[in-house]
Amino acid sequence: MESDQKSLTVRFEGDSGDGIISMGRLFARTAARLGYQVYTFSTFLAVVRGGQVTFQARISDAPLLSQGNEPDILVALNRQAVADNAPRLPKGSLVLHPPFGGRCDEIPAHASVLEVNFKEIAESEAGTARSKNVAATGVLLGLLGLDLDTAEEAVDELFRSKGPDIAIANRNALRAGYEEGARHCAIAQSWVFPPKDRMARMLLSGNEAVALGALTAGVRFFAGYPITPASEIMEWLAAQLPKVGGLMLQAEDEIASLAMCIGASYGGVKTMTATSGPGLSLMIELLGLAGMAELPVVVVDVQRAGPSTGMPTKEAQGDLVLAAYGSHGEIPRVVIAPQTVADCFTQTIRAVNVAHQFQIPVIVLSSQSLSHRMQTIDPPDFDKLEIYEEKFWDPASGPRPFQRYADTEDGMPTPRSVPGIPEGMYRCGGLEHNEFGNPDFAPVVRKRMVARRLKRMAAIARAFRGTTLAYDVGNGSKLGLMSWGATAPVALETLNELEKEGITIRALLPHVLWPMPEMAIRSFLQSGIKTLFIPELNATAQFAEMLRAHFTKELLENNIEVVSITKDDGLPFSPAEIREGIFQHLKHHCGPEVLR
Amino acid sequence: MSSTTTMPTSEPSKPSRKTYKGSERATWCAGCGDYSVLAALDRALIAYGRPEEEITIVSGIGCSSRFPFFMNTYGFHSVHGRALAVATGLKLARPEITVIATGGDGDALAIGGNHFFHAMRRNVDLTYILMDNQIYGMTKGQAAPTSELGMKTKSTPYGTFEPPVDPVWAALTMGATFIAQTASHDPNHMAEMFLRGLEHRGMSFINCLSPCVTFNAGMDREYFKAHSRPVPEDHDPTDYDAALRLVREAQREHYFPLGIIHVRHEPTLADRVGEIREKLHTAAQQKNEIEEIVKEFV
Ligand SMILES: Cc1ncc(C[n+]2csc(CCOP(=O)(O)OP(=O)(O)O)c2C)c(N)n1
Ligand code: SF4
Repeated sequence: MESDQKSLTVRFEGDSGDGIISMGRLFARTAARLGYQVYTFSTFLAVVRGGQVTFQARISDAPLLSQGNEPDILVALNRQAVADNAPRLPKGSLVLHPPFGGRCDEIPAHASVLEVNFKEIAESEAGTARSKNVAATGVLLGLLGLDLDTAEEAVDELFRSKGPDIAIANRNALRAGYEEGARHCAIAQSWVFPPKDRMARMLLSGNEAVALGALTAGVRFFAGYPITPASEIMEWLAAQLPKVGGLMLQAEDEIASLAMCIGASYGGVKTMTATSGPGLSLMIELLGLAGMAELPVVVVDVQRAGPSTGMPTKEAQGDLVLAAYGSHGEIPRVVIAPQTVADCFTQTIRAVNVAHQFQIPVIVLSSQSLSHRMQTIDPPDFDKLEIYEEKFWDPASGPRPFQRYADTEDGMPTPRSVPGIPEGMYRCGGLEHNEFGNPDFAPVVRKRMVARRLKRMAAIARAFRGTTLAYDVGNGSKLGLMSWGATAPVALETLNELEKEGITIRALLPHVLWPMPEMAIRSFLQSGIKTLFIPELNATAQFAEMLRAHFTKELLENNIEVVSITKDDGLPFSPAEIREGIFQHLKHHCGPEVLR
Repeated sequence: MSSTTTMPTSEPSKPSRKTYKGSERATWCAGCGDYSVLAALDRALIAYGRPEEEITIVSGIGCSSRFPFFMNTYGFHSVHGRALAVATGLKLARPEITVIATGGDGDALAIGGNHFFHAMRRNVDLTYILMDNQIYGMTKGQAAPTSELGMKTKSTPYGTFEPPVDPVWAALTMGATFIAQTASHDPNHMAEMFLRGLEHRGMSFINCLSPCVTFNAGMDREYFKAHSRPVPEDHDPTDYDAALRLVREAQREHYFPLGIIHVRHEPTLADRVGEIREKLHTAAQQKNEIEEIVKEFV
């Protein structure tokens, strides 16, 4: 967070039948339209139906890095929501709830309470108690004085598909709630702040941003198999791809998904598939084929808590090692982990570009919290986006005879040929082959081809050198932090808070995880840091282990202690948890001088 | 599309005659049934007449899956069992390319069984040539899903315990729109079936009884010849129920019916997608479509 940044965290909580998600979306969409930065997070305790649902929306006048800690305003639609949250409600917070027949004594004295009968408003204004969630959202918006017209538009869009009557009923509920809220605006005054500008921002989920990135990058064939939490990527593309002449095909399993993508890629079309850990496990065989045949393809893994079926709706970062090393034999590949919803868009475009530029498989490592969270991004300038278009071998001017796997000094691939190009016929596949693509097991050929695949990785690492790999902040500190994926921005927010307290921690938060960005990491490790915190959401510290394996020398020479902050409880880190991890270590291992 | 091209009835004699065979010599065992399949496909392609760069042969792993290397077309020798999935992706991405898939019975029906099922029902415009030798050739003689009940192989020293799957029955019940069976001992028939399969718009499945002389010597050309009968003259392949009856009868009487078992004309998957695309396109705004699409998020 920037030092003068203002933010407000609202938590909506209630029963799964209360329409909690709609409330959150309505609030978030209204704020985004008005120019606020928005960051949302939701959990479902039960897999499909029943149980407590939480939706947290944080709005701000500057970009947000996390969902925040405890809520400033709690909108509690059932008694349990009050009970669950009361013990941790911060000073000055506000609880908005319907009458429960009796006082909620557990609400601490340092919080204020506003009791409004949402159901009554809904029944009298909309003619149905079902609109109570919209009435409650109206109260909240009225309290904060957010523009009513904009909220009405959002209601229309949210309920349009359910018919005009329902949309009108909900509008009425919203308006009445708004008026009620406006009457009490004095108690919410400290939470009222304007957006920096009035640009309407795009509000989308990580999964939607990945899908939009793929579409923008030119992906025209997608094959996938439904799996939580990745399905929205295929669902969104199923609707959009035919509009641009493409196709989404629901395959019979993840093996087929990737095999189909590889077939389409052989045909010269940009392709992608998306899955979660169980699907990535199935795809490993085909990933090896793409690596061996040197066919570009993008695999998105929206990680969830494993092993096996694990906790399908829960957050984890446990697939890094599988993504980076999973294969029999050794193949060139790139692993990229977006950290924010904006990254989901830009890094997916990058993944598609890199796959085609280097003719390799690229894995995009997203995760559950990132995939379902909605965040605002500035509308992209489509004319400025760099999209890599592969040039295929040209029979008129290309080198002859055509060699699909022509030997090159730097390991870079030469233009490939695709079906339909005369005289460019070749056979490819999973067998070791010579420069023409024909099977060849001669030791000299094998040696050349193994070297070719390794050189490709080196070429990729070189190509990445000049590009921005990550945030790199906080010069001259003895404390350092590295993190990746959805945990990285939470860590950054923690560091920004600590900075305000006079504790500077230098951070490197790479997007590209494989090949490990050597130059950036090496100079980071040589910058004088002595303690390196690595928060990540798995139990075995996968990134830290990879770092140890690849940078043993630098870690030893610079006397750096790696301190992993791990957890694997199914929930994303909060800034407070990372702070706690850092302080735990500092308390036990260092004198106060380290903090300076 | 119906069969209008006439088949050359003998091996091409003129050396100037175009061939689709590759420069690489086939490396199968002498006498392997797959040589006949290679020769027959070459002849069918000559009659079909598409330039070689517009043809792609996709295979899995196995002796029979070596096919693409022996043809002078585009080729993709993928991994065990995945030929149909790779071929489906290629065909949907590049509908103007003729895509032929080849493989063995293990490749198709054991490891690739899941893909086989769904490829048959999707009606993607592919031609699938299965070389059925009722054994695993490449891995040197283990039981295949087509091996007869009780057949002794390296992996079934006491005979198999499982009844076999009939590829023709499988394809028929799973929804293929062109199904034929042919055998290496009748190369003319085989070339004819391939040509008909290539000309059919939709999923064409052709089961080829193609002996493995090395690991299943008991089931050689003579065996298949003795155990097969041509599809009766009066069989109407467009009658699905008649096709089911024919295959059931053949199973009961232990023979292989050779010929076109079933054919029907249905929109392919690409046709159905094309319809939707057209509808969406007429509905779509003139502006850059992605910029239109993005508006849903604002
Ligand atoms: C994943 C995997 N499992 C096993 C194998 C080993 N393998 C190669 S070919 C084959 C079976 C070949 O039999 P079939 O498909 O009937 O073809 P044929 O060789 O008889 O033509 C097997 C099991 C493999 N290549 N990959
Ligand atoms: S092992 Fe059998 S199937 Fe393989 S090439 Fe030899 S004869 Fe043909």
